[in-house]
Amino acid sequence: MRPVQSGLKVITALRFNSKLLIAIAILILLFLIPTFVSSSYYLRITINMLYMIMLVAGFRLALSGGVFTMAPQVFFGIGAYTLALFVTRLNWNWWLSALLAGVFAAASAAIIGRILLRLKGIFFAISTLAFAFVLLLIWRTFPFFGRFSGIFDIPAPNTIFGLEFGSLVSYFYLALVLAVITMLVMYRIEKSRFGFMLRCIGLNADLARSSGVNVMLYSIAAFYIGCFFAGIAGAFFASYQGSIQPASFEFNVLMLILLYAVIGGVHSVWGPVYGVVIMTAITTGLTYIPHYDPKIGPIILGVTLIVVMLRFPRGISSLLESIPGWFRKASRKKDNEPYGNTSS
Amino acid sequence: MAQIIANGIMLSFLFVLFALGLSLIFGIMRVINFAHGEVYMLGAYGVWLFTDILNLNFFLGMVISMLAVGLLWVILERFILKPFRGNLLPAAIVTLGLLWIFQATMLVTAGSANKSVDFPQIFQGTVSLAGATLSLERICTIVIGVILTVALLLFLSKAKAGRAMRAATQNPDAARLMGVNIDLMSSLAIGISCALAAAGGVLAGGLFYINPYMGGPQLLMGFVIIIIGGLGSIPGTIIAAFIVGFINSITTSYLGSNYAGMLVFLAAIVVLLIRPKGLLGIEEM
Repeated sequence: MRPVQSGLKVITALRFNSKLLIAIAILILLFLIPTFVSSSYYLRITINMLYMIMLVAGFRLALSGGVFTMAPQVFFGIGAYTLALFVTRLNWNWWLSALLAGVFAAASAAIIGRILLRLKGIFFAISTLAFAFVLLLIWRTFPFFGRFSGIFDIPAPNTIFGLEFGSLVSYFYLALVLAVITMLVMYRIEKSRFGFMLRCIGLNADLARSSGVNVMLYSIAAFYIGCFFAGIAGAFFASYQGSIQPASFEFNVLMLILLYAVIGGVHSVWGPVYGVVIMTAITTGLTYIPHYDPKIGPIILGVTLIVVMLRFPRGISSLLESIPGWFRKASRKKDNEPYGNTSS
Repeated sequence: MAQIIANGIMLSFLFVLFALGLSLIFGIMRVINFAHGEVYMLGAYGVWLFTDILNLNFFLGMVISMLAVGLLWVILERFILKPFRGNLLPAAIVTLGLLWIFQATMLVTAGSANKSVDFPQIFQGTVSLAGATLSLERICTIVIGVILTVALLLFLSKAKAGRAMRAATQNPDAARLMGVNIDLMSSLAIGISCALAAAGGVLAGGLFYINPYMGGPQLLMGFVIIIIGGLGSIPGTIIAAFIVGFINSITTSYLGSNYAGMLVFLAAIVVLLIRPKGLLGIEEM
């Protein structure tokens, strides 16, 4: 095919694909954020949102295949500790260590998954929670991991392709690129045969197994990919914070991930984005109330979580995605269980 | 050595009181209560409120605390947990929300500082027994633990309501056809379970410290006990509670409490690898 023709083809494809145009417009807007957000406070909040989106998206991918893990925060921690140890103790290249952080988190997920995934749904969740506690204990106990004070002086990423890192804006662009890559991968998976298999397993694992789906393989793969992105997010986090402590990977991080995932809606690939953006907007807005005590934040979040579970179990994405349907007469109603068939 | 054994028995009974409730709630409602550690914490704060602030007798405070916490959870079950019965993952998320709410509430109202309550004067001494010095508080804890456990076992095996409850655990549909009121049984089960966990919290409050985060480690131990013992099996839960209690007391005195957590988890992994349904579990998890 001649280049002119293929170019024309791309242009016509763009013209008719309004969704793609909107996506590109949003992407350009996102890349322009630092030009109109000058306060470092808001830039930091945006960076937090971006790495949280990576964590929640990985968690949701596993959950869509019926793998309810309660340890995403420690896989995030495994990534952070791997990067910190390789960069500070062995002086490795940052990018190589970051990749290794993801691979290491994913490899531990594969091992843990192989042992624990013989348990169904909630029992797997409980045992991953126990695993998380043990890992936190190890980080707190052994001097190799720096005990309670953790690891300090984690350097910024090395210069790559002439790009220098270290400023807040550079961290923003790094986080944005990582989050966009994560969401693109999640979107591709959702549309692929693999994503379809995962949804089948999430709906009814026994039926999927009897139809010849290798449930164990797909479940571990989903867990593995989710943890890979959690590990990469952890590597970013370690450098962005400059130091890591076991306290950064405690139970409250899991609670935030769960909250974002549930409020965003676990059946939609964009749910994590909605959940993180909306809940961050709410929690940031709350701090503007005069005499607001940050200690009551968890109460408000807990009540929100329960109300959403009781009233909108499919999350905010179901509300957002139903909006186009309001303008059409008969919209097709997609109805499946958001959490799969988990009753025993 | 006798010291370690006595500590092991005491810890085991605290675990029994906690894990039996977790198992009972699961058996009837098919719900895992992630806020069970907060039930334990609320029980401890209840007795602190009644004895330190309102100056009531410790045991009276304990009974009131058990009743109050039990009633609170019967109400919560009716309005929040009922729609999620039998639907494990959403129920887990909702109870995690409750965990968050209770922890933050206690942090705001009572503060993060450690609180302590004392057993009554007559239990404040020590006795020497087989070469070990045991505080009377610990003996009192063991006695209360035995009384409550035996009372629950008798209730489940002899009383009509208890037998109906076991029937509902085994087969909810068949039990309903036989005229067992499942809603009533669920309320009763969650009331009893939470009262027992609250009693555990009260005793732990008398022995150790009370703070808003005390439920977390207890919840983890409760889960490990359930994994080892097999979910829904009462004898399995009791045996597993003793295993975990003794691992805890032995490792803590020789190596330190951090290693106890690791070892207990390893024990759970070994059980899972050899026997995925737990020691005495009936149902594949």
